Amino acid sequence: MKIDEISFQAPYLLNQNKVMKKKVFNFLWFGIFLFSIGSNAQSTAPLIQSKLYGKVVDKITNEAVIGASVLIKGTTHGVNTDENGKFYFQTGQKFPYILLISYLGYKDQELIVNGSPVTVALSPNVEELKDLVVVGFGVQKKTNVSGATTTVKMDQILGSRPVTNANSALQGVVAGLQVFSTNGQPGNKGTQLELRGLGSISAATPPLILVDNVKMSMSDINPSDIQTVTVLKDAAATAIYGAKGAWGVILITTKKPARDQKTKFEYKTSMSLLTPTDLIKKTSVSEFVNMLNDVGVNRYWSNQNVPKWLNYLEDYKINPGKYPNGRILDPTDGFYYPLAETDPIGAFMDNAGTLVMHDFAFSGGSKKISYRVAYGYSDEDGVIVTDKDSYKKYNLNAFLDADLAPKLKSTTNIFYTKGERSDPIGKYDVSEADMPYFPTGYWTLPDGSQLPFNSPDNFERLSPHPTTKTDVTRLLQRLTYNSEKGFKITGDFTYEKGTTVGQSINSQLPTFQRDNYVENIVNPEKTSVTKSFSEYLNKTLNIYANYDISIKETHNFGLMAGYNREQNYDNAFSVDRSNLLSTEVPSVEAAIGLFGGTDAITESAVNGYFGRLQYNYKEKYFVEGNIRYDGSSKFPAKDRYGVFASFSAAWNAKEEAFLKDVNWLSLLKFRGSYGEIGNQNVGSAYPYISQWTPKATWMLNEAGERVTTIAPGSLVSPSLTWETVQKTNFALDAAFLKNRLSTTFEVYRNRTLDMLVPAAELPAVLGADAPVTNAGDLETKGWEVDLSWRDNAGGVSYGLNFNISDYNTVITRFDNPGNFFADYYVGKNIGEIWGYVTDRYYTVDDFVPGTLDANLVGDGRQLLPGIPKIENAPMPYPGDIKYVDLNGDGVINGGNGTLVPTYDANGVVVPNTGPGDQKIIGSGRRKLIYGFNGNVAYKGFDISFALSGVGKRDFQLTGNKSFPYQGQFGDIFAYQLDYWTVNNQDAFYPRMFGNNTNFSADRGNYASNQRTQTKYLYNGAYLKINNVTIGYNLPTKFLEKINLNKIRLALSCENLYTFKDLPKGITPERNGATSTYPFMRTFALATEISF
Amino acid sequence: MKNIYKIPAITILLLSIVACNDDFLEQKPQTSLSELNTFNTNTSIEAYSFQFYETFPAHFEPAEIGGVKRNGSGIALDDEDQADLIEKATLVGNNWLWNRVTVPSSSGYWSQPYKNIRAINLLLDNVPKSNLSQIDKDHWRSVGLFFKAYEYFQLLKLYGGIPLVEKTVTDVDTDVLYAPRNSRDEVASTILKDLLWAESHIKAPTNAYLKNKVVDANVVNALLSQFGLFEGTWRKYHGLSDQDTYLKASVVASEKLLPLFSIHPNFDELHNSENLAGNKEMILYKEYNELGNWSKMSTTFRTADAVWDITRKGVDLFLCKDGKTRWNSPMFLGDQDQYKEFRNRDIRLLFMTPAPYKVNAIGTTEWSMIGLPSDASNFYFNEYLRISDSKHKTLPESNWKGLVLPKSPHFDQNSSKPFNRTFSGYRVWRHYNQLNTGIQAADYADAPIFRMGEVLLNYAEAKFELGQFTQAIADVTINKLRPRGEVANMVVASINADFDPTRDPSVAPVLWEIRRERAIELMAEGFRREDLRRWKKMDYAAKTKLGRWIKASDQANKVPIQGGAAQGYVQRVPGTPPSFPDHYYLWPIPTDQLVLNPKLIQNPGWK
Repeated sequence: MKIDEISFQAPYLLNQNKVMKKKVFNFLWFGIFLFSIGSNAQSTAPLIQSKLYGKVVDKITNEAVIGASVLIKGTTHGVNTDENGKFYFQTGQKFPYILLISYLGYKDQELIVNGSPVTVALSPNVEELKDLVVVGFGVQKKTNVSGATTTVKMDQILGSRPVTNANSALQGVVAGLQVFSTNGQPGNKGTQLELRGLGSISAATPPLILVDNVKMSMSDINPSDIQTVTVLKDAAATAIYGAKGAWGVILITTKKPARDQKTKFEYKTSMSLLTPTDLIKKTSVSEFVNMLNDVGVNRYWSNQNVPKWLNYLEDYKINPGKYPNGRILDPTDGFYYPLAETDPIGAFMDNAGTLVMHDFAFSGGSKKISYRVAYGYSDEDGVIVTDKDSYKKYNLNAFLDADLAPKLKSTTNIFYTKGERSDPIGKYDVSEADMPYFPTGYWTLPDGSQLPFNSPDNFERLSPHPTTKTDVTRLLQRLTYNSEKGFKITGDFTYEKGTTVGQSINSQLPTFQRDNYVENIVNPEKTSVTKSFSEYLNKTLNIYANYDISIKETHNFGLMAGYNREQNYDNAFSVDRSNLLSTEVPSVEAAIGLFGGTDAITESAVNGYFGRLQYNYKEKYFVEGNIRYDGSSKFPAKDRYGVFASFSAAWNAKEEAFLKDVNWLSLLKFRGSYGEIGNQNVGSAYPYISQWTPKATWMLNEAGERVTTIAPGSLVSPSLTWETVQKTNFALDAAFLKNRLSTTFEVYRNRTLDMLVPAAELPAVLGADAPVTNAGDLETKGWEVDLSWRDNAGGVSYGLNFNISDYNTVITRFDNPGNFFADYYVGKNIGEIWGYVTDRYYTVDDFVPGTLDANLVGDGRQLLPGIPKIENAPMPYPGDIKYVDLNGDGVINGGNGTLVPTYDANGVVVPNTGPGDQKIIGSGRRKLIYGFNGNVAYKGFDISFALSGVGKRDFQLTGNKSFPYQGQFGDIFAYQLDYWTVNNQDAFYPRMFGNNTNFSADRGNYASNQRTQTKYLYNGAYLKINNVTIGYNLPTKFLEKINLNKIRLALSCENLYTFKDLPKGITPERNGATSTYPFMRTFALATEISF
Repeated sequence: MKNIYKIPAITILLLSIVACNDDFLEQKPQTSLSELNTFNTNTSIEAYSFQFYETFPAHFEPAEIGGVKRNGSGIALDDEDQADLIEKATLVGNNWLWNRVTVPSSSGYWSQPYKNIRAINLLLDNVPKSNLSQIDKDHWRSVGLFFKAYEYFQLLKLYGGIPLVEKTVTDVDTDVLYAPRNSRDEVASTILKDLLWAESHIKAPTNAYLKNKVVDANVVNALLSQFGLFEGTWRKYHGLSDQDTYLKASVVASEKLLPLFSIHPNFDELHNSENLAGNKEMILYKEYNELGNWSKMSTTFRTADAVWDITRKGVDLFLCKDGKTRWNSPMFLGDQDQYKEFRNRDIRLLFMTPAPYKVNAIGTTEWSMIGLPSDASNFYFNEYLRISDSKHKTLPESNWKGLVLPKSPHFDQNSSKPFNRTFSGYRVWRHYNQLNTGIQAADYADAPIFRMGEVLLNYAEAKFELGQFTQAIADVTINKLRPRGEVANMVVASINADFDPTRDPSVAPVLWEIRRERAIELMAEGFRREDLRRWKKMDYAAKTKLGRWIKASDQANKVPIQGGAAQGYVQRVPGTPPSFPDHYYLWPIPTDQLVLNPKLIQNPGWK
């Protein structure tokens, strides 16, 4: 369905209000129709013009109450308060009349008004804070919740931030919810979510994301459409989802229209500039060549004689004019010597990327019908040169709520999103690794023609980019029957279909080699095109009934029972063909080479019955039980179903007589829960079936193509079944000083039992890996603290929220008979790093005098007795790393990789057993994850900020970032220049060479110097300023003159700065050190208008 | 309007009916096969069997297929570095030769054959259940047994006795998983028995295109020839019994092949041919083609990746054209003048390592003759044009892009180009060809797996060990190979104790010459390590490896010379290796396997 077709079918329905009541089938057209009714209603001229200005504030904090409903009693004339808590009526009513003011979480209030302006102070419903939170298949009063949940109002955290994916806005907001990205690529930031740590070692453990009750990808939804995000953390909260919600559930509730609202239009737009946050710093050419000289590279691999190169560089400094191209062709040896500094990373990037976002929504409602239609559009063009690293996203979200009958309500939601992504090719890490003298641009051949250098920027500019197009359509129909006697039954069916179409081309771009100045001959036979298509269908059916009953206001019961079915179908195939006739026509039909292709279809289904019973006594003592009986297609028939249950209880101590009158205490509540949940996300769709995969092989057929063979599948265990997660949670909620300060403290223990892990290693004669079986356990213990403060002083209202959490995960069952520490073992902490302890560098004093010459080399060098040496490595030189001989055996080695040494019959350690000189030297796990955000508002101005960070982490740099110049093609970055030489013995990095006459032949002990060790574990703690926004709302008085509700202007900066202790260019948010796309800082100018 | 109340009731009713039926939870894979539907037809079994071929040593491939590649030709050269005729560029020498081998914690040499055996056993166990004819069933059983014997043979060569796995096992078959090693006798007799059964039941390929590309009776005989000689001589020289059973099996198998195959006249075309189809020497070969099924074999020897040299000893083995050794042939012109050393020699030497030259070139595709006396460098330019062509080996040599190397030998230590390097003077260039110059890793020369040249040498040696070597045998074996080197025929009667003054006196003079021919013909094909081991002659390798004779000043004093002399033979690794320990003749079993299965006993001497 195309959006523009939807919009213009409707006019013939105008003014057919009566027909409406009978036929309510075409909901979409209906939405448009209502829009026009709304417009008509406004045009009715009142008899008497009276104006009323007003403001609604919180009685305690004096903070403006935004979005409160203000209704003139006895009429349908109502308005909502604006961002400043203000409202305005122009009405035909005469003073005095009665206003009805209501807002969630506050007591309803009636007020007789005699004139304008008025200020209404609403009392928070302290005893019975009516804040409703979404829980599984229902809503609960916030005070009644006994499980661990956190609810976030999206408008509060999103504000005017330029984010296209709600993930980014959630970073640092919810205690225990880790949100990390791996790069800054438009539309492909690799964001990972993890709630309360790692749940299983068998597969990733992301929380289940449900949008309006049904599974959906976070990246598909437009953040502006989200009303609230509720994170369900413990078993009490998630058991109702059975085997899908083992790792927590994120419930996203989208914005819903309300009844009796006049049509409201909202338009939000922002324009942003994107620049990279942190780029690696290269050395200068001189520093690089001097390094070559220092380590004994006499002739660089691309031919240059290093001493000669240094001379040229000296001369270039004095007479740059002599070298017009910044390089020289040496007349004697015929090689090029590059001299000028170039900027390969700079050439790879534009000055800035751009992001444009538009959100347009209209909503409204009459007594029986309400609607909301929202369109979103974002267009992000990344920072890489060319406009081909881009992502465009289109969203439509249309909601229609209608009473079909007095007790029967229908909800229809049509959701559509389209994404178009173009990926960069050259990869940022390639430009990072480029030498500081690599030319960019073109080389002129003797015949005058030009060839591009093989620089990453040229590949970006001149090669076709891979593209990915996705479409997701989701249709939801819900019927709700509400008896108004506490009985409610809901049935909904959701159909979601998504397709992804991809294309990538290998164009074999002819280039000129920029390191050794030769032409790269390309092979047209190697050109190829790959086209891929994948689709998925998800069908979800939920039917559930809720029954709430209260006996004499003291015994309050809640009952819920329901059924859930999900069926998922995935179908993917791709075809590729080599030898394109023209790379401009990337078609498999217009190619003449070999065909290739893949296809895969998987189906899975879940069938679940669930129920919940809640009871509370005077809203003081709470108990709740949840149960789910779940079946999954992932397991063999006999192990298919499981029963999962949870139990929770809470005590609201504030309700007790002895605390009732303690004024400084607003809330004191203790909560506890225990439950067992299943996990069915255990690898492939058919984990209990050994799948034999066809693949191309050695043998060629007459057509010259590889013949297909069938590789036998892995061994599977016939008794494979669920992983079970036991969750225990204790918590304390407290609020003080009339709810100004509120806190939550949670402790939890999650045990994953019968985790699918490879069975104990079996002898190799089996010829296959041991099958995975339900044979592992792990345990995570953690805690979370939330603190928030809100107040209003002297017209300034402000709020601050801080959260911090930590956890540790330990393997508690794992069969590792060999006791190898590289594998999992009982007691292993997830993230622990094994390595050596750095003592210091070897120095001259460690060697037998006279065995070293003035350059600290010597073929006959000998260590003094008692100085340990690395086993099976050359004799060290001064400047090589001396490790601590932990086991005191006089040599440094890794033992046999086992946890503990073997002892012989006499109790003597068998040599080379145990961990040798290795031990646990740190942990790569993020510890003390925290977030801090706040906002201040004064008159029309507001400032908000969001920070997040990690308190402790041992960070390992990898690849070329870890040690300088690791081989003949190696790199060295500016931060790596502090390396050991005879004249710099106090350096940070060790000796890189042996006898420094020929690096390529003798690197001495450099490989041994690079072992994982204490000295080169970096401090991965950081504090990131996720966002700072300054906003201004135009005064209401001014807006009235132009008939607008709101105009807001905001300046917002996303990812402003990160405080860290890592070298420049290394982003601590990442898991490793190599990036494929730099992280981006976004400056946005945002405007919001509503009327 | 009233009816509308019935909607929820009806809905619930309907859904509860639907909900009771959970057949939709029964899901099966739709795009992958399983054990049940793989062994039904000749076609599917044949497709399955093609994965077994990945075990063979073929050429280096851009992306290795089939997991761990034990035998690629580069690996073969690394294996030969453990013997005496090849030296890999290191400063510390080979761990085996310098007694630095430690027991590994795990090893693909042990585990990969068992992975392959599992796939083979699945075929052997499932084929009898199919509806094929008995002849077809026997054929596929033969194919399976051949490959299983091949895998056992790989293990036997390294470890001696090993656990035999004669059926498909799963994690519950603890009797097999935790079994002790079978004895060497059991392993060897199983290999022999399986190969003999396969030889009599296997069918020739019906598809003519697959001739010499798939296993048939000739391939089985080629493996029998190789295995029989290996096991027979191992038993003889390691003091075990029953040597003749295996030597005779080798002879019988070789004799079946003698009338069927012949020697291809051009030695270089064995490893550097676009197409080996129709080559009468090929018993089994692997095909590569221009369509994308490339290797990177030649490319490897035209980049910085090639790090293997032939040793002084290896070069000295090559006879002069008169059939005499360099030590006593009047045709030998000395080894100190590099331009003369290769003159009048077995021309296979020119296919093993490039002849010396110098040209004017600055590292582009352009070059010109430098004007040396025609008797020096220029001689070899013409010699290569005579024995080879522009698709194969010509001077000057170039890298994969076609960039000309100004001179050879091109010592790395004094290098002006980081490719086609030598370290001790005689770089290996057996696999160098110019079929696809300019395109990296897109080589398509086919790779021989079993060829008649080796069978002839197996036959000659086995006949000698059985005491049956005569001039007539020499004429159908060694004297078939000599013409390719333009070397005079072997005259058995003329070989006396003085024929080669460097002969190991414990080896009979004729056997010494048979072994010499084998060393030359199979150099850089990965045989030498096993040859020395089965002869129990690893002490040959426990010697200083030397290279070309040079003047230090010619190489800017950067290339190390034996004894630090101003001129002499290149010696890369200082010192003399220790003697070869007896227990090194068998490899150590990796420790993880010993930990997992206490009944596995380590080979003696390994700790």
